[in-house]
Amino acid sequence: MTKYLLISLVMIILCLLLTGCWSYREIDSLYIIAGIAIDKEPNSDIYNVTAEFVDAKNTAGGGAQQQTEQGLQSVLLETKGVSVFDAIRKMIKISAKRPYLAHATTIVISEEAAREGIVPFLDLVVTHEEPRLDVDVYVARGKLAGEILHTKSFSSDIRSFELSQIVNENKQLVRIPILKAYEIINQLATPKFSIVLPVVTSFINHGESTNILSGGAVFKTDKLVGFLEQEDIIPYLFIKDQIQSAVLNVETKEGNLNSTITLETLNNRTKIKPVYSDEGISFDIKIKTDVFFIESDTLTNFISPQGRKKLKELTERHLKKRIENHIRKTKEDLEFDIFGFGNIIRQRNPKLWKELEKDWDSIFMDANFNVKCDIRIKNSGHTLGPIKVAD
Amino acid sequence: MENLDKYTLTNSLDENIKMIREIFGDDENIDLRMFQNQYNDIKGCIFFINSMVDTATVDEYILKPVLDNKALPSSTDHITYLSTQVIVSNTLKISSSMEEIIDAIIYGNTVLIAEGCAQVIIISSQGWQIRDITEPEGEKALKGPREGFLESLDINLTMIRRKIRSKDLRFHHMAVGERTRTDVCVCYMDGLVCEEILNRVIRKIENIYIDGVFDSKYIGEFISDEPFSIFETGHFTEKPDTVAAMILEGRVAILVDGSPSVITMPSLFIETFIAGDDYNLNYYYASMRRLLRIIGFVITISLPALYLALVAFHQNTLPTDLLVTIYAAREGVPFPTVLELIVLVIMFEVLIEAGTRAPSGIGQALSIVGVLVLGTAAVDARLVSAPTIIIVGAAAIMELMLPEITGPLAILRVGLLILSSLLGLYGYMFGILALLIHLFSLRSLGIPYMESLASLRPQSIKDTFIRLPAWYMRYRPKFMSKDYKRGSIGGKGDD
Repeated sequence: MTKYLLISLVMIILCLLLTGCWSYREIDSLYIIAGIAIDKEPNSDIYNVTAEFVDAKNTAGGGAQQQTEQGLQSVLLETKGVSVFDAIRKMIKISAKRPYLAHATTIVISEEAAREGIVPFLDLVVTHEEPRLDVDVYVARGKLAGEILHTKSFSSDIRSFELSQIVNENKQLVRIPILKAYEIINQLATPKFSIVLPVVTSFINHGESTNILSGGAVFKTDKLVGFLEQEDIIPYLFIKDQIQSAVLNVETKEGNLNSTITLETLNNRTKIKPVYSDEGISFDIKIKTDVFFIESDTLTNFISPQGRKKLKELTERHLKKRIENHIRKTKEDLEFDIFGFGNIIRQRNPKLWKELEKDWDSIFMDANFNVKCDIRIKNSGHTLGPIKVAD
Repeated sequence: MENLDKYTLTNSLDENIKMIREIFGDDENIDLRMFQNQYNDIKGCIFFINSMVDTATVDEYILKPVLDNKALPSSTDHITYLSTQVIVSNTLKISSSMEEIIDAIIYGNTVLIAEGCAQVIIISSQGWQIRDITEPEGEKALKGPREGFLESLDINLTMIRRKIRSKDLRFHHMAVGERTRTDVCVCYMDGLVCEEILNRVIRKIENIYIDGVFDSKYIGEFISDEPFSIFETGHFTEKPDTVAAMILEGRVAILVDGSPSVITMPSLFIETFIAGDDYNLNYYYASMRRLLRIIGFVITISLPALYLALVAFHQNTLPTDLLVTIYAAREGVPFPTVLELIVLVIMFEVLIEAGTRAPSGIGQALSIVGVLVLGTAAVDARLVSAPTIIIVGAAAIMELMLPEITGPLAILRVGLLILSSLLGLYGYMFGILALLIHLFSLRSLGIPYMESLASLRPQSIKDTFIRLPAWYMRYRPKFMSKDYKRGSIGGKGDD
C-alpha cells in the first residue's frame, strides 16, 4: 500500500513539474489590448507604439438599470521604445493592470515603418506567447498608424475590433487582400513571392474623418515598395484566384450614351499555365467566372437570350482588358512579379526555376500574358424582369 | 435470545404465564387476557400487544368463538381441538418453542395458551397502521404506474408478485440484525438469475453483523463491492415496476422490512440516468431526455471548474466578446473568482439542505433569502459577479435533474473546482481522467460498473444513452443473466 501511494505521489509530482507555465491570474488584473499601431520616428531607431485598450468599466454599486448602460470604451496609450516589445513593456509602468496581448486583433504599421521591413513586428507575434498568429496586419497610408486608432470609429466602440470585423465578417464582400500574420510569415519564406497587405486610409464622412480599407500595400520581401489602388485590387485578386464576390461594372455604349451594367461574381476559378517556348516564357491565364446580373441603367433587356450573349461578350472583353492593364501597370510601376507567377514555375518545374530564379524579375518583365475569360451569367438577382418604362 | 433454551412449556397454565411474564421482564405493554368457557370449562389465556394487533380480530375470531363454544371437547388435547374446530383464522400454528412464542407476541400475533397443554396456538392478528400506497417522492413519473413501495415487507412482496405472475419468482427470506432480527428478502427469477451472483448476495447478507437494520441502505453498504467509492454500486428504487423489470433482466432485488427502498444488484452506472418512465414514453422523446441527463451530468460537475480555468488561467481561449463581458461584470468585485465559486457552490448545497430539513412553512422565507439575498442583492452590491451566479445556478439546475446522485455530484463539482483552481484546465483534465479511471475500475457484484458503455454495437447501446423500442431489446444485459436471449423468439444472434 505504501509503495502504491509512493508511486502515485511521484507520478503526480512529475506531472505537475512537466506542465508549461500556468498561474492563477484574475481576469480583472489584465488590461485587454485590442490592437496596436506602430510608428517609427524619422531617422532614428525609436518606435512609437500606440495601444488601444478595452475599458469595460461598470458603475460601482450600480443597480440593474445602470448595468445595462455599460459600454466599452477605447483607451489609448502611446509609449516609445527601441523595440515594439520594449514599448509595450513600458506600459506596465503606467498601468495598474497588466497589458494583455492575447486578444489583440489588429496591428497597424505605418508606411515609414513598413518601408524598412515588417519582420521585426511579426517576430513579436511569433515569439511572444501572448499575441495570436491570426492577427490582421494593416498598413496605414497617408497618415501615422497611431492616428488610425485615434480616429473616431463608425460602427463599434473599439477601433481595432471594428477593423478586424470589417475584414473577417464580410470576407467575401470587402475585396481587399487579407493576410493573417501566420500567412504572411509563410509567404515570406517562399522565394520571389510578394505579399500584399490591406491599406487603411482616411475617409471623410459628413465632414468627420474616419478610416476606410482601400487598396493594398505591395511588399518586396518584407519591405513596402508601393501601393495598389482599389481599382487594381479586383484584377489582382482575379489573378490570385482569391476573388469571391466582386462587383464588375461593365461599361457599354447605347446610342450616344455611356451606361453601366453591374454584375456580381458568384464563383471564380483562375488557372494559370506557364508556356515555355523559344521566345521566352508566357502565361495562359484562364478565368472562369459565374456572375449574376445586378442592375443596369439602360433599358436594353439583358435577360433575353440575345441580351445575355451580348452581355457575356461585353463582360469578357471588360475583364480581359482590366487584367491586362493591371499587369502592364504593375510592370511599369513596380517592375517585379507581385502575383507569384514565379512560384507557379517553381512548383511545376523546379529545375527550370533554379535557372530562372536569379533574374526572375527581368524575365517577368519580358513575359507575355494571354488572358482568356469565360463568363457565365447564372441568373439575374432580380425577382422580376427589368423595369419597363412606357413612353 | 440465547437464554430462552432454559424455558420449556409445562402443562400448568399458571407456570406458563409466569414464565412468559418473566421473559418480558414484566413489560406492561404485553396484554394478558384470561378466559374460561362457561360450558365446557376450557381455561386459558391469550398474550398479545394491544397496539400491534387488530382488536376486532382478537375479539371476534379468537375470544368470541372460544367463549361461546357450547360443545364438549372429545379429548383433553384442548390445543388441537381449539385450533381445528373453534378458532376462526386462516393463519395459525401450533408451537411449543419459546423462541417462536416470543417472536410472535412481539410481531403483533396472538398466542393462546390452554390449561393442561404444553403447546400453544399462534394466531396471526397483526393490525398496525400502514400508510397508503403513494407515488414515491424521489421518482415521480410522467406516465406509467404510480404506485410505490411501503414500509411493510409483505405488501412490497405482494406488489412484486402482482407484476410478475410466474412460478419462477422466488423469495429467499433471511433475518438480519443481531437484535432487531429484521426480515430481509432476496427476490429473483429462477432460471434467469446467475447462481454465482445470487449465492454471492446471500453469502454477503448472511455475513452481516449489525445490531439493527432500519433501511435497505444498511444492507447496501455491507454488500457493496466498492465500500470506499462515492458511487453506489447498487441501484435503489421505490417503484415496483422498476424492480420487476430489473428482476426480469436477471438481477437480484433485496427488500428490507420497514424500508420502502429496494436494492437491485448488480447495477450499472448508466442506471443512474435511466428514469423509470423512460420506458413509458415515446422512445425518441425518452432517448432525448436520457441524453439530456447524461449531458447534464457532465456539465454539472464541470461547469464551475471550466469557468474558473478559462477565466483565471486561460483568458486567451475565451472569445474576445465573452472575455470583455466577464471582465466588465467582474469589475469592482472584491473576491477572487475561485472564492466566489466555492462559496456559491457551498451556498447552493446549504440551500438544498435547508430546503429538505426546514418545515414547509419556512419554505417561502428560504426561497426569498435564496433568490433575493444570494442572487440579486449580492450582484447589485458587487459582492459576487453575475456570471458566477449564472454558472453556479446552471450547474445546480442540472444537478437537480439527477436526484439519485446529488451527493456524488456535489463532491465531484467541488473536487474539480479545487483541482481547477490549482492547475487550470490541466487540473480539470486530471480530475476527469481520475474519475473515468475510477468509474471503469468499479465492479458491482463482479459485473463491470461501466459495462456496455465502451461499445458501439447496437445491442449494447440499445438501453444506455438512448432507449430503443421495446421490440428491439432482444437480449438481456451481458453477464447478468443466465439466459442471455430474451423470450423464445429472440433475434438471430446479431450481437
